[in-house]
Amino acid sequence: MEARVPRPLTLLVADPDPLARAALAQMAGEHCTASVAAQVGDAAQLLEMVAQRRPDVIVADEGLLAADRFVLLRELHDRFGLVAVVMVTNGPEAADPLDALRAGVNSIIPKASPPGEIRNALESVLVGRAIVRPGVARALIEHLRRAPTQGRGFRPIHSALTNREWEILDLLVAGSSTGDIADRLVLSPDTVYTHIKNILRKMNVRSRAEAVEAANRLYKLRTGRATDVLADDAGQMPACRS
Amino acid sequence: MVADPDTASRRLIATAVRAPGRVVVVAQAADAVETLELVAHYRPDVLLCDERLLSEADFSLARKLHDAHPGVPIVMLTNGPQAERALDALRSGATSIVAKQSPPEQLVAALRAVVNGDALIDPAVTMELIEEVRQIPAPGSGFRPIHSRLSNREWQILGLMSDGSSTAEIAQSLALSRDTVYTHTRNVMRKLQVDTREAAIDAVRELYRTAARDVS
Repeated sequence: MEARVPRPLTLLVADPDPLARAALAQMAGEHCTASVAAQVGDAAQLLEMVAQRRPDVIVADEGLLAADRFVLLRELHDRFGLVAVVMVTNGPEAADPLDALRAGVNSIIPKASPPGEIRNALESVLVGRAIVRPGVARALIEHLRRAPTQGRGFRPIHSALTNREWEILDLLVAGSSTGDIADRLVLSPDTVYTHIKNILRKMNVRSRAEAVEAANRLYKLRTGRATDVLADDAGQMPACRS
Repeated sequence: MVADPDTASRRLIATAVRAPGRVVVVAQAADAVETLELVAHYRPDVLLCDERLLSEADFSLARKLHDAHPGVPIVMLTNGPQAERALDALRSGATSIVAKQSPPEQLVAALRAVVNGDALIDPAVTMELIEEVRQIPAPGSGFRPIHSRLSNREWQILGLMSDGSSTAEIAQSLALSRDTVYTHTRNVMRKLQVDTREAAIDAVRELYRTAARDVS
């Protein structure tokens, strides 16, 4: 099914190996609905070219991307927001594919794939879809299934809210009522009410709905760095204050 | 095995997957009770199940099948080109999602993939799945499991360790002495019951994957 693209889309090819780079550029240029804007050989050149050309998709070698636990991708996201990335692997993947996908890679394709498959991956990414090996798809499903079903099970490391308060807020995010929470945590409803009042006060919001919204925003704004303080002491994002 | 309340649909699919040869349809079911009974009896290599049947009552059939027969992968067959609640289906126990109208080779390819321990999923659903999985926090994200015997400080240090920071770098980032960091690290390794940094990092990644309560 052909997707209708409103304007010519651009691709950037990144690979330290000049032969691989040329081959990828040619393959992408010949078959894809996008045009190759630039070819680069290392991380510094990549960042510079992304700044200059703002390509829609980056096709990059695994070695280049995966170095230092995908620090290059974090830098790309920090500076340019979300960019579609297709990672091309040489033989068996060195990095865990799940790590790559979580770091921001949209599609993982072996270099040895037939050109038709590489083209499919590129074109999928251009229309906001993803193609991965069936084994990787299975791994993604397993990962999804292991996440807790009631709430997220996580809290920011830095927060004025206590563990108990986060436990309750997490259940609120999952849609539990006061009664549900009281049953589940073996507390009296009064105790739960008190905790919720404290939560609202500490987060500087006026309703449970607002607290849930603030908690969801915290998750969406996660960065990849442990030293970043995600929220001030009230567990509130700067955006919430305005 | 094929399960679909609609007789015509069920027969069509059974015929389609038989056509290329080497696939045997051992049973057909028309409702949830029948599906459960027949899966228990025949233990098929894979179950092809209609989306509506699988998703009734918040995917109750999917959950029951997955709990009772985890070794029987489920390929959910959608009536339209897209699944209504693809991620919920996958979470509840479906392993693959394919449109009923797909050409027979594609249906068989999906069957073979799940039997091999893989999964064929539509690219749009794959993207949804990736985005959902990205929401799950990882070490170094500034988030930690709510339930844990480890303290905030210890989680902080683990996050930095997972990023590859050395004791000296951690001490500097957190404005602590190296001795303090070293003590914390030893406590953490004791609590996680591991001997090396690498093992600690692996243990932490596992904790993030399950956000499980620490077992004391």
